[in-house]
Amino acid sequence: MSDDQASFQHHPLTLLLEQTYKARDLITRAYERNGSDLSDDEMAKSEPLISAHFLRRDGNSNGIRVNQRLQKVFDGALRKNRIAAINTNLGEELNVAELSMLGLQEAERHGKGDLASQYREDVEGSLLAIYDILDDGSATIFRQVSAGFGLQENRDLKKRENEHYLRQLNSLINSFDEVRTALQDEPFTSDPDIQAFITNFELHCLQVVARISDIQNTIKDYLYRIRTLEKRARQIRAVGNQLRKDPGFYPTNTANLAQDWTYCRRIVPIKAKGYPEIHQFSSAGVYADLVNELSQKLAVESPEKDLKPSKLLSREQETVTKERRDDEMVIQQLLAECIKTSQPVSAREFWPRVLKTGETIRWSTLGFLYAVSQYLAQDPLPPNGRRPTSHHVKSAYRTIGEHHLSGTHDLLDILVYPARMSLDEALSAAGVPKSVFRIDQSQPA
Amino acid sequence: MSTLHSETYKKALLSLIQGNVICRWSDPSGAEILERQETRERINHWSGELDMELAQTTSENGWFLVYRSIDPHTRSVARDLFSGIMKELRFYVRMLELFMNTQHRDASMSPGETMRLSNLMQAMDESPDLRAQLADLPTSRKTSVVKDQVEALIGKLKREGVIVESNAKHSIFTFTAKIDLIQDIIIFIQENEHIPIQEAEDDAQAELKYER
Repeated sequence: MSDDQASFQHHPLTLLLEQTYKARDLITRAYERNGSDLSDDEMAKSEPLISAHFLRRDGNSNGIRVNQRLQKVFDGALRKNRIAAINTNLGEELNVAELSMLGLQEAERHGKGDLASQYREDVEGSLLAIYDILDDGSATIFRQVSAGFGLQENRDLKKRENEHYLRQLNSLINSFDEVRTALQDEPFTSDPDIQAFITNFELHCLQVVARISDIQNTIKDYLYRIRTLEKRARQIRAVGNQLRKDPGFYPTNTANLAQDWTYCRRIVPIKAKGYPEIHQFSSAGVYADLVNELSQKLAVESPEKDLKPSKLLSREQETVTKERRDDEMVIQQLLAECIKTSQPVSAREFWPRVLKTGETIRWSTLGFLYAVSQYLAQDPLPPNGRRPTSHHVKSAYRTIGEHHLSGTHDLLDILVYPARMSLDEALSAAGVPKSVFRIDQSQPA
Repeated sequence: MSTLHSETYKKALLSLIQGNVICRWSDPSGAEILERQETRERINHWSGELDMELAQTTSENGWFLVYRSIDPHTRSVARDLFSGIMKELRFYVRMLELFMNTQHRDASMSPGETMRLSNLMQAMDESPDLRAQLADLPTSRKTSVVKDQVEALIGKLKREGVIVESNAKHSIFTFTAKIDLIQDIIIFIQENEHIPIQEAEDDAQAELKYER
């Protein structure tokens, strides 16, 4: 980048133009006077441009407009509302050419060669002027019609503008036809040089006329499109009015002709079918053969599989092999003795004589009693049993209050007795005097 | 590589067989390859075996597949399609009237025509009639605000492929060639039911009608 370019990059005008570009939507709205009720954010964005006098506040509301001088610059650039007007009158130049031709004839009649030459040039000049009017007019309208830039955005105005151009071009062509007719007659046919010039003139003019014809077709095509769209709009509005007038309207005639309309013959997404259409009579035989063929093809013996033995012993439950703990084994020995002898067994008396293993070796008598109490409270299934422990044995707690007012009792013994015995029978069989010990069948706290 | 084996060709073909309308606004690359005679012949050859062929919209901007011959199956499809369109007819007519009133009162919508959300909102702000028309659309909830109603309408038209968002930053939408088809069915109904239309007030330039 050169130094000049670098300096222009930070030129205030460059910065202003950048700011203008960033706010281009805002400027357009201001130009079209659509910038009313701007938001605070938009107003903040427009502040630098207001400071630069590009934009001005419009009224008391949050509105802006473009500076009037800038408005004129934009109008000029956009050629806004400027409709081209061309000269369609070739008759004046033709009249001048005719007068010059008469002068030429007069000069030749009197043998004035210089004057005749002067008149000849005048005639040629008039014909060239006619050519220029044709060429300039067609070029002007071609520019207006073919260049998108600067044309009216409003469709109605654009249509009227094009209609105006078409009228002008029609007038121009009519006028040119009159010129051509006139050039075939006197006085233009009297001079061979002028005749040769006219032939050449017509050749060039016909090229311009061909261009005018193209422009006319372009405009007619545009107007035809617009008229078609206008007719379609009226047809749509007619259906809209009909629907409002008759809410139950149903187009029966159209429904019967639906297949005649291309869009109703439009394909719809094809749904894949995962099964054959067997209900068709013609297909029944084919599918019967197919089923036979498949049944023969698929009739093979399946290989034997070695099945692992089921882990289920009953239908509901899988056997869980569980190792019994030492404390459980000792307690279960106590219960087994009770069930086996059908006699009550004192846990305190049982504890000294049982064979202790593992962790139970370190247990005290009271520890064993509490373990028995917890086990009976859980009421588990006995080994290989289907009914809970309470179904086989019951228990009675022998406790003594430490103090009458303390509210707590010390556990002395647990009497385990067969479930079918009553408590009195059990106490009697155990030889426990009821008057000496407090008997509590509930679990100690 | 030939376009006939390109991903664009496969995508366009899949889109056509799904019943979509391809135009330069909805699928620019698909529309570009459909401009070529070679592609159209290939598609017609292929779809001809399914008794289908390519068809164009009224403005010749959109391509879609149709059944070639009229048989009981085609009639059944046409009846189903017509019934489907009739369910939505009131919505389409009201929607078109709303957009015509917003954009240009005297002309129908054209494919490629753009619509700015800001202009639409501004038109709604300025006209109670337009707000009432918008509120009458099935897409509008009576209790919702105008912005939500406009967005619901735009959302439905986008989902149906009637418009595409051509500029997300400035929320500018472009009508696709499908708008032609929607307008065509309404005009088809008007013509076949002989619903009277109001003639243009200014018909002084009728002689300008261009006979093609």
